[in-house]
Amino acid sequence: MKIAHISDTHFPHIIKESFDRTVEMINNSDVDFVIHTGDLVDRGYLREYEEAIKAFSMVKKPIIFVPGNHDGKNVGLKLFENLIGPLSGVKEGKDYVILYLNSVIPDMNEGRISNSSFLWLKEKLRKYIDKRIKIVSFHHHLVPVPNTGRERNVLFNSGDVIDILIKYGVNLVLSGHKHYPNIYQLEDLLIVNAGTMCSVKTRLGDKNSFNIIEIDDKIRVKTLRMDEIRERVYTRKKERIYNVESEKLFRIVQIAGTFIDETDIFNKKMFLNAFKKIEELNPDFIVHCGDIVNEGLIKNYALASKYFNLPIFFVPGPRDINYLGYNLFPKYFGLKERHITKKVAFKFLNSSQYDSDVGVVGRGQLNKIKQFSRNLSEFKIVVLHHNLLPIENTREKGLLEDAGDVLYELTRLKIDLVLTGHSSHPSARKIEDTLIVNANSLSCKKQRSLFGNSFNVIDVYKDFIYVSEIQSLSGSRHVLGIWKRK
Amino acid sequence: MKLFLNVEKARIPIKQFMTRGIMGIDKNETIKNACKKMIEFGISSLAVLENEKIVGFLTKKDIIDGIAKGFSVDEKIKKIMSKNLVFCDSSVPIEEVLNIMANFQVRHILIKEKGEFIGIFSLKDIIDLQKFNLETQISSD
Ligand SMILES: [Fe+2]
Ligand SMILES: [Fe+2]
Repeated sequence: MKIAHISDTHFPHIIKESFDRTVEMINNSDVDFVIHTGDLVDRGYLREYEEAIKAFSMVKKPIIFVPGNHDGKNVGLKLFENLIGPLSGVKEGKDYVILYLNSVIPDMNEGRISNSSFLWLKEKLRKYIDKRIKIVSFHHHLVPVPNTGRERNVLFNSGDVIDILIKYGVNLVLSGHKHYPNIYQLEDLLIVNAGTMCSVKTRLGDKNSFNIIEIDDKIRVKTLRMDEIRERVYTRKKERIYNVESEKLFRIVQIAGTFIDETDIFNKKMFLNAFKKIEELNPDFIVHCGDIVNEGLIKNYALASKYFNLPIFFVPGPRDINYLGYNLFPKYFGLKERHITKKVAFKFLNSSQYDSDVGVVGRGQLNKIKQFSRNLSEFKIVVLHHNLLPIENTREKGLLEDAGDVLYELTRLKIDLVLTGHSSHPSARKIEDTLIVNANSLSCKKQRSLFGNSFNVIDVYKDFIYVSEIQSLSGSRHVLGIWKRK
Repeated sequence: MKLFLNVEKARIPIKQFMTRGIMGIDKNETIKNACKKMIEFGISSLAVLENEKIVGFLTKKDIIDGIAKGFSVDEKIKKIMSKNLVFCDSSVPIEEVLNIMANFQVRHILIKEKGEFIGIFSLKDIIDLQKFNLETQISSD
């Protein structure tokens, strides 16, 4: 099967040459159909829709149109439904299914898969679970995209969407919105963002582009810019059985969100039980991914310094540096920049900003990561507080504002492991060659996991990485996942 | 206590609940070593391998039964492993999986997809969730 994936035409602001050339290429190709992932028009006006319809009548292949945020401006989604087609739907073939849905919040740039759409998606995924190829499409990007500036408008609930797409074995997600072509492999899910087919609104002086996606036993994505073609081929990972005899290299205990305080937001019993268990686990390294104290006050820091008796690497969360914390953190815990041995190297980042929940890594630290990646350690780890990927059961607000660029660099540099500690929910996902693990809050009353307060144990073996979560209260352990090492 | 497995959830395919990936051990390893590995990985079952292919299954219960029958911990696990593999496809709803497990009286089930073993589901995973519900109720004073 072959699909042409186009996006963000933004009629009437089109570059006619780009439009005509793309249409010609599609018409002369053997693609089975075309999918347009939204922002067909720019302002949602009738005139714009009419112009778009006229232009697309030139395309001689069936087209699925997915609504975008610009299509919904000025109550444009009503026009979209009347003139273009339904806002969501199913296209079914012998061995494939495509589910497309509306992610637009009228008059907002941000996106959302609404509660009812989410249930619809789940129901359809269940219905079509036996289809060999499952494709889902919506306008907004699912994970942060590089070179697109502040990362403030991924889907509000992308963490949950990612979760069900992976759990139901969806192969491919097609989106647009950011006007910058990008592909990530997240576990077995291929996340493809198209650039803009013909709009003047490109980023970094980029050219217009679209994708040709070919699916057989592999998935081939070709990005065709007006002046170059890039192709990447993906195969599903096969490895599912891991031999226990693999050589063990080291063990990391990853904790976050201890929220030490005199009030009852800090659950002392959880903390003490968890640390009893941590001593028992005898880790080689303990990493605290931030929010050590509830607020950056002297009394909290003084209290916290009594609670930690084991050697721990700390990175600050926003809680740690508010009020006086900015001065107290380095005094009490010290911000180590890196720790490098032959076996493993850690790079610690401060992603927290004074009196703000919004995280940022920034260019300076990003350059230091590039330097760090050149060290000769066998296994490279980057540690920070904020999230790089949306986390299930939370809103996307825990993401770094420069998550797009940071994620891109970390995966490009093939950092083996990234440890984060925001959002109070555990998560472990491999994106490209990088495993990203998030820790739940260890001892804060406010947490989001059904499993309860917890921390993570990450065991690195010669052939695989074994990640489990441990309940703070009972010490009960369950596996978050096993990943083959490259 | 809020029941975790409500009617809606019961129809969800087991894929949603299973652990991806299976830990395996060679059939010629000793019972003692299998015990060590179960502790190391925090699990109570292992797939038994011959040339990296699954040929049997070993649970904590198999070990206890084996020791009770008089097997020494230095004997090979192939002597006490279950040779009948209990498995189902990843698309089977959890309520059916629980039925299958009850029928075979097992606490672990291997999950297959497109003919290959891809994961494992253990009753413990559900019990842990229930336990947390119970614990929070007890500790919410
Ligand atoms: Fe757009
Ligand atoms: Fe958009």
